[in-house]
Amino acid sequence: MPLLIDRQISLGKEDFRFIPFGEYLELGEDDQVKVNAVQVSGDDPLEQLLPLAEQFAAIAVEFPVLRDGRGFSIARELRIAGFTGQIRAVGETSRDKLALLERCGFNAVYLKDESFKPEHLNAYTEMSVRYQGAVDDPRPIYRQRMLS
Amino acid sequence: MYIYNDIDQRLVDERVEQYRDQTRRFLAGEISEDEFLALRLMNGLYVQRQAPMLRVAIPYGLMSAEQLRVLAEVSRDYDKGYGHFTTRTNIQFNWPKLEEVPDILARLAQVQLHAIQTSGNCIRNTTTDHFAGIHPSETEDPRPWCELIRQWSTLHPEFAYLPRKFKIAVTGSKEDRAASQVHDVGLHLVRNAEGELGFEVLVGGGLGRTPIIGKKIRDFLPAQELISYLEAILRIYNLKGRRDNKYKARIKILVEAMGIEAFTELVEAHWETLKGGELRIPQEEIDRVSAFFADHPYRDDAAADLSLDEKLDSDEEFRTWYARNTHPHKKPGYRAVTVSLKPHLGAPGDITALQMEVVAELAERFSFAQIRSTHEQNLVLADVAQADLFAVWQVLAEHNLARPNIGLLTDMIVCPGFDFCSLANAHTLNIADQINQTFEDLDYLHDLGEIRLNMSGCINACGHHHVGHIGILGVDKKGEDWYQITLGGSSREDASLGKVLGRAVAADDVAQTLKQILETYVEIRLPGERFIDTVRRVGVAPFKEAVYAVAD
Repeated sequence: MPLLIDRQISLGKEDFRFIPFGEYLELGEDDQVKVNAVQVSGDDPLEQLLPLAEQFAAIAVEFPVLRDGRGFSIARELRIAGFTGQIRAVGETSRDKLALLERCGFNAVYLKDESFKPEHLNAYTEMSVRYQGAVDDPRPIYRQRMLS
Repeated sequence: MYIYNDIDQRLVDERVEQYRDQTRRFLAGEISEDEFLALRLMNGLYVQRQAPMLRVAIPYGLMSAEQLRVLAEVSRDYDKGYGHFTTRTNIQFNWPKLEEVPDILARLAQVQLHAIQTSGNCIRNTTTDHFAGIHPSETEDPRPWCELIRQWSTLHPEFAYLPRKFKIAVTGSKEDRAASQVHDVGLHLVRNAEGELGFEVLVGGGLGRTPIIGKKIRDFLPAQELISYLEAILRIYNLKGRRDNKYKARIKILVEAMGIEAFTELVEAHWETLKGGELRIPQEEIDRVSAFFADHPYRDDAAADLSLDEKLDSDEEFRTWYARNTHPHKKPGYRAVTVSLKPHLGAPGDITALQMEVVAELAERFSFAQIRSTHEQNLVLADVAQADLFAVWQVLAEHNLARPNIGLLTDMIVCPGFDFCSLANAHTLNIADQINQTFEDLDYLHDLGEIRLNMSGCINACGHHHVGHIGILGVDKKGEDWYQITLGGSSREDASLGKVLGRAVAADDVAQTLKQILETYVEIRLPGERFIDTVRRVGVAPFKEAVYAVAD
């Protein structure tokens, strides 16, 4: 199960220990300060996470099933709120979601797919046109064009 | 109409290759059935009862003659020589081969057509008034805004896996010909007291299992903030919409559950963080897109023509067609022509390859080479000079496209039903035939006047039955088709949901039941009163009595 960070396969490096955000909220203050990475899902209270996000080095966002797209908006909201650490997609990720994830602010993806091949990284380059402003480039097409 | 630049073209070309690769990987077993399902749906490909079905987008219902010719070609080369126009103003082909779809898409891309987001849980084709830009009473042309929405919504990375599908309609007139109040978002172009352009915004309308009229979320949204506001609505919906039950996943359920006030508060609070930012549409861009929808070079002397009156005097059939199937135009001497796709005993909305080519040629000769598709499943030639109407009518009549029934009982909106759709519970096309056979008499139809009859083959309501003056819903009872009838619905500016008449009727009795309903109407109507107005005045009770009294 490969971990992609900034489009690169990351092997065997020291990794974060993600604490479920619900558990984190239950911890005492002394224990809370030791946590540098949390995992959230669409069921967690996003409005509580956003003001705390800054103190984490990494936030994992869970995609519980294939069709659950809440994670895309969670990442967008984190970036809009100014979070600059790692946002990692976990759960039901896939090759065909890689580009969407990146555009929404994910810079790391834990791929569940065992059959990962390096050519899956083509996912990042197969669409070069971006009509919308997003995290990768906040300018919608009309502002991209004006400056080009 | 909007013409692609290099960037727009590159997007559809790249999308074709992306989809070709997805298809290849699926056929090679590298993508699971379930995962490919989501991918192909986002590109308009269903697997239906008979074969795959490919739905091609007609953005806000506007297409060029060249595009219609290519649609004809595709239907001939890859299908059985016909297509079907839908209530989202798209066209669908019922018999393509899954492995040939990438080639079809490549052919379509050559004329700036695609199938992006014509199904799946994403933002669907935006629809609008089929008389946009030409209607005499229009406030503002909605099409530039539809195009801006098209671009923003196309392959939006955040909104590809929404809880459920999402449909937007835009109007630019006080009259609502786009069913905007039964859309996830309805946008009405308006001017405020200062004369500035903006939108009245509705949210949470929809049909399906739980029909709801949209609620107003904002009286006036400055037009330049359209995209930022839509993004705020979609983000809240994506985060909060239900995902545990697909029948409760549309935004209307979220709005109902939270209450419009609470939902509005959330959206407005989020919008505060977005407005005035990058998403604000610069005036240059509005001007650039609007220029594509500038008036055609109309002839100033078109109204001086005398031949129309002569033809109207001398030819009764032409006169009937003119009265029923042509419509006012803002430019004196011009009319909009509805091409009826509701022939006697034909599937409503269906069109053959030859008919597509005939309409394309008429558009080239007489209507600035453009055609519109309507959510009522007809086509429109929007800009025909009055001197040309007779010639247009003759060609249409020759090809069974001039049935003078627009707005009448037989101008039915009908989904394809059980014959094609794997979701359907009941057949619809046989019932449409039955209604056509029973109400063949043109004089009687004209006497009944304006009646919107909408029929769906299942609760998903693709045929918009809730908002038909008469709605027919096919249901399955122990393996038999039965039909539930509703009265009093409307998708217009006075939108309302139909009320159930009573217990469902058997398939063989549908037309007979309609007959009883309409005979009752003829009996009790006031002079000049339309069917819908009679129903609104007296309620369903007198109709119910007429239909069920004998049997009880």
